[in-house]
Amino acid sequence: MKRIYKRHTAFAAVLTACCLCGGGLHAAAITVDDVAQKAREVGFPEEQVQLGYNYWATGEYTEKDLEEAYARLCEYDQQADDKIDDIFNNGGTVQPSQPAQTQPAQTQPATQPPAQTDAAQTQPATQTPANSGTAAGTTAPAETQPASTTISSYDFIMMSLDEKIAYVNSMSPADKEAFLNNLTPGERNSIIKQMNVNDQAELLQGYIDAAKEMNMNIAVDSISAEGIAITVRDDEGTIIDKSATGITIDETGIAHDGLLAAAAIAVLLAAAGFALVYRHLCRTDGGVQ
Amino acid sequence: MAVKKERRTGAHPLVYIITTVLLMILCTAVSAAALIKPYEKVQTYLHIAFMDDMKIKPASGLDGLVIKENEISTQKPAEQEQQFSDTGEIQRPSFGEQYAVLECDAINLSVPVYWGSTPELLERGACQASASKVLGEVGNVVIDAHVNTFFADMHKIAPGDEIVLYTKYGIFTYEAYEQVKFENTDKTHILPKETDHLTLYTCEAQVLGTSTTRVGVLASLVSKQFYVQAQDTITQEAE
Repeated sequence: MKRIYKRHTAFAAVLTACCLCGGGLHAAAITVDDVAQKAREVGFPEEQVQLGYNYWATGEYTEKDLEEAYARLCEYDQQADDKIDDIFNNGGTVQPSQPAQTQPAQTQPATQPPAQTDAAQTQPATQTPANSGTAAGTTAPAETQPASTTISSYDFIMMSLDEKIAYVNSMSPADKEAFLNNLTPGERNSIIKQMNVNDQAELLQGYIDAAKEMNMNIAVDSISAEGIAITVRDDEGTIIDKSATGITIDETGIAHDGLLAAAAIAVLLAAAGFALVYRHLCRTDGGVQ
Repeated sequence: MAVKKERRTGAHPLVYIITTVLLMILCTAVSAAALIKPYEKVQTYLHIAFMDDMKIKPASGLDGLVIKENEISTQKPAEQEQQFSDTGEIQRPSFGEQYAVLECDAINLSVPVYWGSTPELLERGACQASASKVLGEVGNVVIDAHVNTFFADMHKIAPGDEIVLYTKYGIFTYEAYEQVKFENTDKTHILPKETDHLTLYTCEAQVLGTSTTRVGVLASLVSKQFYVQAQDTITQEAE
């Protein structure tokens, strides 16, 4: 899926203004599907897009609400593009050590803020969300290759950020511009996920604002060098998703440190007690008073 | 004339009491340490044995986590009267929902799989990373569970062993091809993949229970069998 936009700052500002005003690009009113599609484009995972659909299915929204949601998504989109532009054109700020093999260039769908979306993956089967209250289909658009790349989208996503920068900067200026203008959501998100945590935190605010318009509440669980972990809840407080900007490996062992330490201390205390009792018995038996 | 004090011939009664108490402490400490593993195994069996009861009382975790149990048939395809197709509709689960049952006959494993990963869900079964692909989608399906309980015997899965995942919308069969060991900082095996793939992992078994090392099994897809008609209510047949 191609998303075409102009990188020129002035035009970007106009674009944002048009989005905010709810006019310009859309001759007709913005629909639920427009907002959902934009959400997918900017990297919202399918679970969260479906939550938006569920909210909109209630009918408790106005046209202005949809325009506001679309505007927030545009804003977030622009912020992310500016950051990416900064990285590839001005050197930008990158994570300090990003070995290629372990770089979570793309989280598989759903749970990364700024999120990866199923839209980034080719979906052979139609998906029906389990709890969707709408009849809206959720067929995610297929991923298309940027015309100027000589490597596959998957290979680009799996590169470390340094490798991505080197690869893109090896292109001619025209090819570079075309490539950066046509990043797929998956490629784009993989770059965002490899950004400096501070940059991610800045983008996160835009993501949270956009998510709020889709009736989602996002709480940041932790921020570390590994990434940012968030929890997404609906308006009733039910957890919709837990995600992180980095791929996390679960702690799959139940710790017994406390129990074993207590047992060891108890054994030592018992041994010391026995020793004292033995000394006392010896002194008592051998002593003549 | 000095009066000789009588030599005490017996110990003070308090000594006997203290000795008894020390013996009890020692036995308790040793028993507690020795019974950790058997206790966890019993817990696992009890959980699986009473899983039907748990379905009647859906539980909620803290902070808005809604845990939803489902009845999923684990009948083999040949035993079912269902019709199957190579393609079909995926039912995306909600966070905290049990959406699959994982079975591996080679190690007598049968464990519920929950969508999403939290400590509460790991206590109930295996968890699938919500950042990985839903069963039926092309890509890497990543499932993990505690080594102390459900995946205690996962290291016994050998190349060639079949792993089957049952869902309400289909049956997905994988064949193990490699056992791996990696550190918790190495994300290589849980990264996205372009082909249908299953990655199971758990902590390496250690005395202290946790470890920075993970052991895993990699498996490739053998067959996707979508139900022509998805099963909304299926009674789980007793083995």
